Amino acid sequence: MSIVDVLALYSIFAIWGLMFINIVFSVGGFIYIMRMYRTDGHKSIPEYPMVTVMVPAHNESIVIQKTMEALLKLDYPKDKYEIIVVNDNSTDNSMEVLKQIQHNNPDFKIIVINTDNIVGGKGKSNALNIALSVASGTVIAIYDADNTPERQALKILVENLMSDDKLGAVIGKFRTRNKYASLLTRFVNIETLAYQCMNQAGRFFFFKLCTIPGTNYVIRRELIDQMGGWDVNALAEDTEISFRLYRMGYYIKFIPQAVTWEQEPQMLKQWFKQRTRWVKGNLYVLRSNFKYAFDPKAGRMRLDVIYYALVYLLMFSSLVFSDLIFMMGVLGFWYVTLGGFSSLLWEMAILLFVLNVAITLSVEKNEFNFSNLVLTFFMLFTYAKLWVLVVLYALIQGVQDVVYKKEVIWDKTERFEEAGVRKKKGG
Amino acid sequence: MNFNMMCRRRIVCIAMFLISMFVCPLVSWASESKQIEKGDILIIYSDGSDESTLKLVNDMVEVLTYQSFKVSYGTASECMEYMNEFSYIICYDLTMYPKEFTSILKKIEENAGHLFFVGNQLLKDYLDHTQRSEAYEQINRTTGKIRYTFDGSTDWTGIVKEDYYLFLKAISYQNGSLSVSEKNNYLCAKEGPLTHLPVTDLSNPLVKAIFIKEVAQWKWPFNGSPNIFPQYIVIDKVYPYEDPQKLMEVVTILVKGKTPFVISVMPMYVNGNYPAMTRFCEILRYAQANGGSIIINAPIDQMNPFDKDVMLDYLAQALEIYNKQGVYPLALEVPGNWLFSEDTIEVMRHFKTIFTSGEDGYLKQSGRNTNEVYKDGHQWIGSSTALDDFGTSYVSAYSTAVPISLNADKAEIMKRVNACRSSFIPLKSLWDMDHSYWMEKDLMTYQNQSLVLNGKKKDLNFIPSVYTEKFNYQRNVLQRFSKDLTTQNRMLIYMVGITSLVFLFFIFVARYNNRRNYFFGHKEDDHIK
Repeated sequence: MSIVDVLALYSIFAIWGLMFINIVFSVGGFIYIMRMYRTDGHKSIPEYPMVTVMVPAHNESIVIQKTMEALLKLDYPKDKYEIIVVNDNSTDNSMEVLKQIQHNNPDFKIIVINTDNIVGGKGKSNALNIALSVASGTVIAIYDADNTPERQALKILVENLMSDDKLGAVIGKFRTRNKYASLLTRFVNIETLAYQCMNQAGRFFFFKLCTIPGTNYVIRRELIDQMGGWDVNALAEDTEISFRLYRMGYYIKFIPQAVTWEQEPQMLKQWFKQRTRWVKGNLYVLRSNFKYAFDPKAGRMRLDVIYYALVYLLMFSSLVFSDLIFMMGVLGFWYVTLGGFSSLLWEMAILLFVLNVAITLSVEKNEFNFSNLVLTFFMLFTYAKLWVLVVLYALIQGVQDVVYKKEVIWDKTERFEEAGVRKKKGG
Repeated sequence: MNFNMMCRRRIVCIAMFLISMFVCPLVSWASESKQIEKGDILIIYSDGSDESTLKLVNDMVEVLTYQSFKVSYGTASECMEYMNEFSYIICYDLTMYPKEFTSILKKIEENAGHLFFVGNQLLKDYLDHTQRSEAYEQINRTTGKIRYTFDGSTDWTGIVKEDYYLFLKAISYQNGSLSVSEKNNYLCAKEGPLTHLPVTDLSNPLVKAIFIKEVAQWKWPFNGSPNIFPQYIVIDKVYPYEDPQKLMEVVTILVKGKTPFVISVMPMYVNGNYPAMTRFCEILRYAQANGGSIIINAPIDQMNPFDKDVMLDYLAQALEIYNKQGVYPLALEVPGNWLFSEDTIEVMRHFKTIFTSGEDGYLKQSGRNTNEVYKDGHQWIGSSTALDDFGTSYVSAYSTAVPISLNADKAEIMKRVNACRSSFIPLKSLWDMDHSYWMEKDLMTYQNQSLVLNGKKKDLNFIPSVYTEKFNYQRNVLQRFSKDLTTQNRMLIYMVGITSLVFLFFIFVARYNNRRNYFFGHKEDDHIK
């Protein structure tokens, strides 16, 4: 058996193993989402708590207007929520835009904190910590500056959080606002549904585990205070805070009815930059929490650490090997001589991948259509391959950061002016 | 450099360019038109002949190659300009040829050239052209019965078909008989420089065998019959995983009967030390030490295009494996059509003795019109032309191999062996000839009863194998996994099938719910209004 055979065997077992884990999550996620959709997501609570909606913003003048409009329209008692926008060392006209919004909405409690490059400009965690210092709510809600939450979103999230003492945070679903902007955003839309929503739902269904997605979530103020705020070294502050909540014994719930729509990168360059930041952030979290994978006291959090480890070590390496074997095979340099090895293995994997994504699309309105199914198929050979490059690049950057002791920099995602929002598909 | 000089240079360049434009097509045209190399025999066939005729011509070239003749061949138009360079010309079933063709034949006959007519049309035209119409008799019937003997005792008969039959009236030599309309005539006859065989269907084994014998007689420069070449019993295409007991039984019968024989083994490339291979080679060593000899089959070729380097690599690996076990193949067995491709000729060049099997390998024919392989001076042992069920050779014009399959039952094998033993063609052992081969790292020579491999003389006496009690197949965990992949695949197919059905059910349920809840869910899109 040659080294190529060993690598092929490793890739086959790793890819199929992870594929079945995802299938199991999809089955659980489907059941959970269908069960949730039988309700409207609301829970009755005796009194609505004071909520601070925090919006970190750095050069977001293009999108902040729309975000603020959506936040001001939230179906939540006006006197029970405040909005804190941290205009974090912006160099655009965000300050003027925000001032105008404050001026136009005197009935709402809108706090705008303008920071300079001494206090601010150090990333999302730092901005959130600044907002926390002036927040008066007992519940903190986080929305990115490019989000437009649906009217019921905050209410649903808060009601669910307050109805269960064991819940540390409740997260909602985020959808792609500009999915028709480019082929890339269409891929992102499918990816978001399949791997953010269905996967989260599956993990919650089986293990009561969810990862905070960075936006559209509420968290108890007291827990943030106990943690000492957000970790300013973490690029993926959302994942990091999720792990800390697990360790504190709380769990995080996923509510699919609480929806926010966000703008996704339209250009490959911006997408690559954003995903590299996510991967670097997740690898940081994985590195700092890997010790808990073998600690029985860490509880169910261990499963999430192992899951992340599987995705970033097993999945990444097996995809690299399988792609390498494929390319070298096409060039005629490498041959797999495993008995019983056939292309059927790959063909079945493709079938399952498409069906797996198709389930996710089927539970969403207007998403289960022929064009999305075709896109899913092509996604496997194009968009999904980019993930390998992203991880590879993030790993190289991570090593460089350690070797050259570079400071962690929050590389903000560039926003786009949206030409016009489509009312309906084809409209 | 002055202006005149520059002009002159330019004119010269333009002139050269124009000349090259005219000359190049001529050169390429010349390379396309076939050059007929001078040789011992020229075979001429009809212009515009089809593939089946070319195949029969190849068969003729093959058997003449085994007889160590240098043969050239081509259509009548291709050969015309070269015919006077040949003393021996076979005109095979010529019906389409240029007008001047018979005139050239006449000149050759006048210069004491030897003309062998296979078929009737050309002979008739030629005799008419030379005002000898009274010298032949034409019978306008299509079916004839041939009778022929190879050993003087057994008559072989068969039915043949031609458009019509022509017979020379005055003949100085004749052999066999051809009955047409209940009238007996010769099957092959000679008159002066003209030899005539009226039947052309060389795909008929009897006709082919007659042709081989008569051509050998035609080419024999002395009185009497040509030399008788021996036959070899070949236990053909033996794989290491075949029943060793059966092989041993056949070997024992041949050894006890003091019958020389050859075992043609199939090549192995890996696992040469496995117990099964050791046992197989032990039998081969026993055969080798008791009058049997070993030859190796060429690796089965599935390459397109054929890669001679890969083929030689495989052969070298296979020979090394056998040599390590004390088995020394003396010759190479190849498919018959290996004689007609440059690459395979290159591979055969590494071996002195070549056996050919009756089967043709997967190979693209080259457009050559001479038997290039002749130049390499191989010792040829061609496949026998089987006239009976035993495959016994009745052709003694060249050395022949009589194949025995291990798959046949023991009684049939015995019948074949006995038929060979009682044949008028003698059996011969490969150990009575010199052999050699060379690979990139190996050189084997067998001369004066001494086999030398890479400078070391090899002991050919039988030494039994030593077997380890528990052979370690080195099948580690990964190898076991790989072995089980087929089973795993099946299991995976079931799992994927079930999962797909579950997923399709989910999709159906979700779509149903979505349609049912349509009027409740539309608020979700409020943000985009």
